[in-house]
Amino acid sequence: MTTPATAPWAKVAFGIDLGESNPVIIKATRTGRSLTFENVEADALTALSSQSVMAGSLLQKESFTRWLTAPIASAKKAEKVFSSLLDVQLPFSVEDCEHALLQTHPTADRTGTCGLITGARTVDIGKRLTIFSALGLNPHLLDQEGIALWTQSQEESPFVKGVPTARVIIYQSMDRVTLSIGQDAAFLGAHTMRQLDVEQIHRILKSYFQVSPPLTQWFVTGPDASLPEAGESPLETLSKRWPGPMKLTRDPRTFLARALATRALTPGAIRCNLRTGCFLHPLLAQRQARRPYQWASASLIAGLLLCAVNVIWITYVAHSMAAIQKSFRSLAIEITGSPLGIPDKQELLSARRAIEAQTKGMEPFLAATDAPIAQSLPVILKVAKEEGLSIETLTLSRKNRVMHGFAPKWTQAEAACRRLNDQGWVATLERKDSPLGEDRIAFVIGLGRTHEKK
Amino acid sequence: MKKNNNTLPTLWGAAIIALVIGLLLSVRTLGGIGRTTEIWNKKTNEFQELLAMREIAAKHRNLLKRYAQFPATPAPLEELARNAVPGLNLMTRSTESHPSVPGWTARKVSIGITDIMGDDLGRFLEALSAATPPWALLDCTLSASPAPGRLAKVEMVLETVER
Repeated sequence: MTTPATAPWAKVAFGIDLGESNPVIIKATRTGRSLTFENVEADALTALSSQSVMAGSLLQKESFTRWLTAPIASAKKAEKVFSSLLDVQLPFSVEDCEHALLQTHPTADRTGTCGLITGARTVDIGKRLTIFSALGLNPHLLDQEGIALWTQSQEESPFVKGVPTARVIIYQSMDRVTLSIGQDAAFLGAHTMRQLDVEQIHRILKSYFQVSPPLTQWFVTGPDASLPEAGESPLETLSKRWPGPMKLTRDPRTFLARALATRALTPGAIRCNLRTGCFLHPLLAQRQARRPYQWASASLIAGLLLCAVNVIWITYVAHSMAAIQKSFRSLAIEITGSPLGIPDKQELLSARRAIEAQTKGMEPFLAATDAPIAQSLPVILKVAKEEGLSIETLTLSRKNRVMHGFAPKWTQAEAACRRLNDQGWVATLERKDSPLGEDRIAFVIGLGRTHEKK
Repeated sequence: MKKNNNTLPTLWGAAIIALVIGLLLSVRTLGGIGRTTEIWNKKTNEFQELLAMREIAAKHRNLLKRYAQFPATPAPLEELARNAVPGLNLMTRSTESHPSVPGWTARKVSIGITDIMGDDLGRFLEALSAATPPWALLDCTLSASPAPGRLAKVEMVLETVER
């Protein structure tokens, strides 16, 4: 499940790994979808731009992570009871801490909902901020150390589907050792201790895995991280009890600082900020306060745009209709030739009537121009002559075009009929009884034009 | 960032009003799109029809302009016949006139010809259509002659216009 970045608006994030020793600071810059990291000193944090964010973390010993199970299948409803469930589990009141629900998923039997909650006592958050303040720093975000270690390990060495694998990240520094434990891609929990204690780690792992997983991936990181050399070392002992490859992470000194900066800038699994409530950074408080105004302004702009688009459309349609009506009228006037005689909305009717009257009056002119009969006659006579037909009568009028005649052979009448068809007529041939004493075959050819064919 | 206490409610109020008006206008627009398209298509079709009519009217005007250049009265049929086929005799059966477009009268003449060569008839028809104004052949009935290439009888209805 991907959650948004804790500072999605920022382009630059400074991740600060602040233990009891000197802080490790990493500057992450977002370019497109990727991040570039560089080591910086504390004085780089003195003048931050409005698009920069400072991300620190609460140490594991100052905070907690808990997987809780609510007996409610609906995640939305379950979210409301996690706070009460947490209250039962904590040795202090839930009101005395800042907490956040990071992830939910249904239980195996799907009758309940599991939720991952992280939080810290307000007093510890206050102390942490005082430590930062003593160094002249005021981080915008306070992440949770164990979770940050886990997500960065997944970022740099993603889980590959296959054999069920346990993963343990051991963060080592002068003042603490923090464990972040998970299985496959899922975070299970985080713990801290003053120094590396193999037996304690073994007991912790036993509490998560009653049956040893087939493979345990060990990632060693932190300013004091180093891989065991040959011989009996605490880490060597652990990897024998919980067999699997043990690796040093890339640039272990800045691993946590990179994690904090990455989580501030990019969306991903279980992002969180525990600097909330009364501890909320003034800049974030300002951003939060501005949000309702931004929403209202966006809604106003959307509404105005909607109105504008509609008004433009309505005006465009009205304008186009008026323009076409104007053209319509001027065309009708041109056709009828009477600018005053056309009643409104009667343009088409008036034009039709005018054209009908004109066409009727123009018939004698058109008949002479088109001259269909005068043109047809020589063609028909030519075909008849060439096919050896004798024409008895030939009638050509607008309504009636018929040729009566005799053919020496029927095939000649058929050939003439075909040729007339080829010339654009629809010629129909009919055989008639020949008079007594007549050897030739009597025929009738009816002639129509192709456009007259129905 | 200090803002007046009333700014946010005012902004939301204006946004809601703008959205409601925008939505109402959208509903109206979307509801009217079908009708607008229908009217648009109808108008376009009618416009096309008017354009076609304009072409016809232009054709009529051009024709009248051409005819205006011709002599006011057509050449007599007998004269045309004599010039096309020397010795050709026409029998005029009837003549009728009726008004055509303003300023013009249509004249329809029925004629008969007996015993004519097919080729001569062709020449006569050519002369009729070449006359200014031309004579149009409206109806024609031919009867064959026993003699080859000849026509025993030709009945024709011809029409012309005069000013």
